[in-house]
Amino acid sequence: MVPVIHDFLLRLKTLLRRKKMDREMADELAFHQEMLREKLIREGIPETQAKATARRTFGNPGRWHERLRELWQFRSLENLSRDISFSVRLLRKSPGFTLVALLTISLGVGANTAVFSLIDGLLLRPLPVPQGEKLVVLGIEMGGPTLNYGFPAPFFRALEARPDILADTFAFCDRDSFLVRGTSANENVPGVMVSGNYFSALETPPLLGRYLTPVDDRTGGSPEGLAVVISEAFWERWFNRSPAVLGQKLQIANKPFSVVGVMPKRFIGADQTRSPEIFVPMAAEPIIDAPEDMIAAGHHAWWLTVMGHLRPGVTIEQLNAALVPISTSIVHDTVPDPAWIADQEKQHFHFVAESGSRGFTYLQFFFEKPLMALFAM
Amino acid sequence: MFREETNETGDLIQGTLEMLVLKSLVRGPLHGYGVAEWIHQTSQQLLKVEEGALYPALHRLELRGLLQAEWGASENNRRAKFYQLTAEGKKKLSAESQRWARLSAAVAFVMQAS
Repeated sequence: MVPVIHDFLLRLKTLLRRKKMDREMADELAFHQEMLREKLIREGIPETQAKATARRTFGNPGRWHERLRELWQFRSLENLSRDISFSVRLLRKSPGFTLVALLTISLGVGANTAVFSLIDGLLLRPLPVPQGEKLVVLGIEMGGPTLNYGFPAPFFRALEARPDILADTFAFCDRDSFLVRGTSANENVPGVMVSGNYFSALETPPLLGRYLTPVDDRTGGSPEGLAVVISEAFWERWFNRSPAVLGQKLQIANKPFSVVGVMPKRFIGADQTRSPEIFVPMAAEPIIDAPEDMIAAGHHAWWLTVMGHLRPGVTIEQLNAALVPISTSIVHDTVPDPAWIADQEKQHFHFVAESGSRGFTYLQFFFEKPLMALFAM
Repeated sequence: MFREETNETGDLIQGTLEMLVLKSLVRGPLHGYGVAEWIHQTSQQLLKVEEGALYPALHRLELRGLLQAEWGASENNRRAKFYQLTAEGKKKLSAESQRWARLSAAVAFVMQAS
């Protein structure tokens, strides 16, 4: 064994069995003294004198102990433990000071942990979906201080129809509460309106049943009717995890929607600050929002977050280059207001793609600078 | 953590004493008194190891892993701490005795020069 390690271990042992080591040292020296005395007696020296000589040779037993113990001391650790017990004693004498100090330290640690968790969750952690690095978020350059991340439905639909530009284009709109009525319960649940490609783009298989597909994202839903997907938490709460949930009807805004699938707990969608419990096709928005209708509002309603996957072998820069001409043509095709178009073009209106591996939430937007400032403090 | 016993006679003597102690244990385990006696006898009574040097040396060797200690019964049935060489101890002994041979030869050369 390396000498240093051996030394360390032996010293540690000594620290832990102090009394035993002391006794052993005393015994060892006493033994030697005994032997010495016996030898002197054997040589013919009278007993009392032998005893005296032996004792004299050895000197002060206390001093011996000191010298030998010094060899064995784990000085640094012993000093440390002595300092610690001294400090504890002092602190105990002034409880007020101790309390304030403890509070300050815990506040400091707590605050730092909180800020870092926020930063980690909002800004650093990627979405728990496969191929997360290929995700992009789209925004619109409209001459403002930042990009506009809310798309009107027609722009999105136009992009959705161009898989040659962006793959698996999907859109969503978080809603804090949908008023959901079941046969025995009534609840406001947080949820999200999603486009047809949402689930397939996020590549997370459902726990039960199926997820929404482009077939459901049409006015009136699929041929089987309007469909919704629920979260595992909702399933547990409302249906007690019963497999008979598939096909059950939930009333949202007085229209029946069938539950076609349950998503697992780990699936949180594309906004990492939310835990949606119900996923509704965005084509059903006019039903939900009646009498308002954001789809019909066209370029007046900027309500959708749009994301997609980079096509294989395409970089974000290439995508951005391709988006410029496509933005112009989409706007011209979908907006019936030439004055508005002209206005926008003055601001170099075009779509922009950014990395979306962390999902998208408006919070990361508002809080990035303040959080970083807090963290730096 | 390490603390070398500062001997007035210096590190050279300390190293030599440690070598003698290691040598004394070649034939088998001994207690401290036995080590001192063996050295005294074998050196034709020319070397007397002071207890003040012996026990620090023994403990230092034990700390470095060159010796292993065990409590046992002595010849006259008393409880004593017996030391024995470890594998590292044997290696160290052979290294030290080679060094000593070279050193003493060197000193002899110098002293023989007229």
